Amino acid sequence: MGLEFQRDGTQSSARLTGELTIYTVGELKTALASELVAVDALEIDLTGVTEMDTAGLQLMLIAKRYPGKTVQFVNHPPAVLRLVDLANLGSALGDPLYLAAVES
Amino acid sequence: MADSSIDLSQALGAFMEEARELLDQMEAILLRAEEAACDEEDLNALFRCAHTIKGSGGLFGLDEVVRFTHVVENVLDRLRKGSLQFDSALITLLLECQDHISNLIVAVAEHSEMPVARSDALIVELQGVLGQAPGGPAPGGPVATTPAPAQETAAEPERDEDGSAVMAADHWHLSLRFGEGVLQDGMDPLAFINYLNQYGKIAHIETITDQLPDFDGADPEICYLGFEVSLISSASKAEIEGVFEFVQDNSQILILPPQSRIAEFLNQIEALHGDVSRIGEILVACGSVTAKELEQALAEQRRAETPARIGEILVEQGAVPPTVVEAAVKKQIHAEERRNVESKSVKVPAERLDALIDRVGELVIAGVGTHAQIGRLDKPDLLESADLLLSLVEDIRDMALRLRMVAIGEVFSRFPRVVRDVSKELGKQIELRIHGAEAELDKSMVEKIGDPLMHLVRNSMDHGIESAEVRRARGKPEVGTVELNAYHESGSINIEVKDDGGGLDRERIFKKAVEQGLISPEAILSDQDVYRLILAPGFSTAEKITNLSGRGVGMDVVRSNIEALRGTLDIESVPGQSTTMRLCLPLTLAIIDGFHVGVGSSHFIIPLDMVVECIELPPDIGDSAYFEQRGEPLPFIRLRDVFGEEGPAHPRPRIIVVRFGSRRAGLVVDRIYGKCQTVIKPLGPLFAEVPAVSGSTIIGNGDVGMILDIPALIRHCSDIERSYLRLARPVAA
Amino acid sequence: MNKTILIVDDSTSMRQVVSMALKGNSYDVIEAVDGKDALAKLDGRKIHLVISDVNMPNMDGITFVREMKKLPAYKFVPVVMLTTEGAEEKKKAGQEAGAKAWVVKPFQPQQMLAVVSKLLM
Repeated sequence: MGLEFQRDGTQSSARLTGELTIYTVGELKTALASELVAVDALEIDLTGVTEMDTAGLQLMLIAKRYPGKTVQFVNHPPAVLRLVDLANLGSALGDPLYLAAVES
Repeated sequence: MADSSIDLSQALGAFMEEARELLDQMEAILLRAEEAACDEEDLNALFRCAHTIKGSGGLFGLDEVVRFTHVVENVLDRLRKGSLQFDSALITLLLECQDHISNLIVAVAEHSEMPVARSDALIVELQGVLGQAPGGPAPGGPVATTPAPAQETAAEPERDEDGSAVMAADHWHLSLRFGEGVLQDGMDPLAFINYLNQYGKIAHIETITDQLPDFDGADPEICYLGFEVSLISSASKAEIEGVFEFVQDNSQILILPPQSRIAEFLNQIEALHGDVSRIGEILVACGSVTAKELEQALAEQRRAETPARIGEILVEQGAVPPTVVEAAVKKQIHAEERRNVESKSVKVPAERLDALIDRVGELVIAGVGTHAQIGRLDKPDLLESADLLLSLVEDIRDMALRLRMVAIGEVFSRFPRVVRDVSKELGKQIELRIHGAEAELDKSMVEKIGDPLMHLVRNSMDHGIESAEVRRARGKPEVGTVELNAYHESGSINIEVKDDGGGLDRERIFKKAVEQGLISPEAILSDQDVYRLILAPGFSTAEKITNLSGRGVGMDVVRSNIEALRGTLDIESVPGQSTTMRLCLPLTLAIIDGFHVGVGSSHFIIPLDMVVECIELPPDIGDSAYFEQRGEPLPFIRLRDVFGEEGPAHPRPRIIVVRFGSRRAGLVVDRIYGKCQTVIKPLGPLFAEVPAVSGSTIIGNGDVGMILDIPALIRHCSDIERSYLRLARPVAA
Repeated sequence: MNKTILIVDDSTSMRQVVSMALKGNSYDVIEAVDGKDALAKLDGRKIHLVISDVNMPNMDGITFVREMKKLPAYKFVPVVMLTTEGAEEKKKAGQEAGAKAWVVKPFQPQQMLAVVSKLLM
């Protein structure tokens, strides 16, 4: 699992790589918490996510609930889209789900 | 590559065994069907047999097995569903199919050519039964190897495209709230939900996030999510419940069958949340309730003075028929009942039991050794403890051996079919009666007595039971009877094959035996001894006897097979009325009482029950091969010669007189150690080439002892004995 | 990417049947003959699921699961226990060790495949 933030004023962006699963959600939440304290908006690029499970999906929902901050996920790879679709959470998450779903 | 082919063949072995069991089961049910109508359970079991063989066969890529069994399965499916009925012709056809599947599997095992033409011929007959035109796509056409579950699910989407009427009938609703720890247990709720696709089509999912705390309060390893799932499926409730079998304990899994979808579900959901409008939205979104129904129900609730539950209201309105609630409690009771049934017997791999018995055997040996050493110490207290320990160890030995006991019914179960087939072949009407199928004996014996019993039964049917005309003339019932009886008697099991046929002809047997030089014409023999002559090698009374078992083997082979199991075969006969062949077998082959002797530096064990006496070898015996003992000739052999033992011979060797069946022989040994507990181990490759040894064991001091194959050694002497009988007896008489 | 399943059983034929069924369905399989062997074979590899016998020489299945779950990288691996006994106590001990899925032997290869596909997406 890898997550590096690039801060630009009150905005931050990050690329998440590797697993987004029960094994990594604890660590990820801690990392998100320390970044979100310092910024107003965070954009996480999921391109490099190889595996996701219910815990991972739940963490996406938890991140969205950070009070007063905007968290957005972009570039959902097939492994992520599949679960978002299955759980019918596309609109609840409110992130732009590009046409990757159609292509894959 | 070499490795993977070994893998395949070994795993195939497991499949073969499984297939054999299923085919046996099939046969038993089909034979039962001939007598009386099958119940639903039998018909389902029959279907499952074919279904499983097809499924596993597919796993191993056995296309021909799959192709053929598929058609059989179709017929069995029709029977199961009641659109086809058993008759005698169909049973015969299905028995032939069962044989053919068995042959196909043997062909796989032996890598021989698949009897495809036979498959085709039977498929044509089966299709005749199914009412399909023969020569359709199935025989020789594309092979249908898709396992059944895939086919079943593949059918689902078609059905739901028909329109909402069908959808509604198949419309399940699932409310899933998983335990907090489910994620940490490695269970993935969405994986279970995804698996529902195996049983149909997920129409709609709502993920319930109500319980999700704010960012700071959330522990991401705890599951806060719930799911409302609407599933279109024709699966059973048990199947759908089964998807969640591993998370039942801490989770609330509510599954509502199609008929009860509105009222039941509202009730139960309300109990979980209490937020009526939210539930309403979910249910409407899932398609479980229409917006109009919900609106009416909510309006009714607002009008009511005391707020009633939506579910109740809907039932009152008659929108939903009040159907039976299959509550979670009920489900748990079912699970409990199932567990109770399962725990009554435990299936353990045979090799694990063998390993246990092997170890227990060594424990007994070590125990006896320790006991003996303590006995020499002159410490009464210690000896008392050792006594207790030894008796406990022996109890454990007995219990361990009992674990491997199986009912003899396992062997008997193949005979109804044999009797049915052979009586048709012989044109005789013969009924089989089985008694004592529950009598137990060691698994290893069960595997070995099948063939000898088969010989005896076929022999009784062929030669014992008379033709219908003769029976009528003798005033007997036209239908002959063959009985198989088993019962325990003093540490042994007796198995009888009894027929109500013509009995044995004493005079004829005696005459033949004289003609064949087996006895002298002057010999005076009891009835028993005369009957036993039919077991002698090379004996035959009639031309037909070579056909006895249909395999051209004589009764002497039966006898030697039985004797190899340390058993005996007795014959009783009442002329004109009956013949009884009685096998007496030890209950186990694993542990015996042995007699320990030594030759040169080697140790040998003789089964104690075969030892008659020990005597000193007369010093003036020279090179003779037998000597006189109490006026009887006793052939003997020197184990020294048999096993090529070198080194100095004992100045005063002993003879152990052993008996096997009716024969006796002497074995010349150097030393006698006495009785010992002997755990028989199979021979390793090291001993495979050694003649006249049936197994090995570890003796008290840790050395290897070889267990003598007494029947083989006696056969070794038998030429001597026979030439003596022929030549010496008339002189002696 | 194929998911990796570790099979722990002292019976060769059992391992082979299960392994073959799984390999035929695009799972990668690692085999171990007992608990000790299984711990050695973990070797830092990503394991998605463990199928383990209970009674085995050297180290039994329950001890193995308990030991494995102490390792952070394998803390959340789902475990399918193969059992021939109705002994509730064993099952209780096993569940406390973290083995939540129990399958009674004998089972059909397809049954095991069904169990695996319930647990792994």
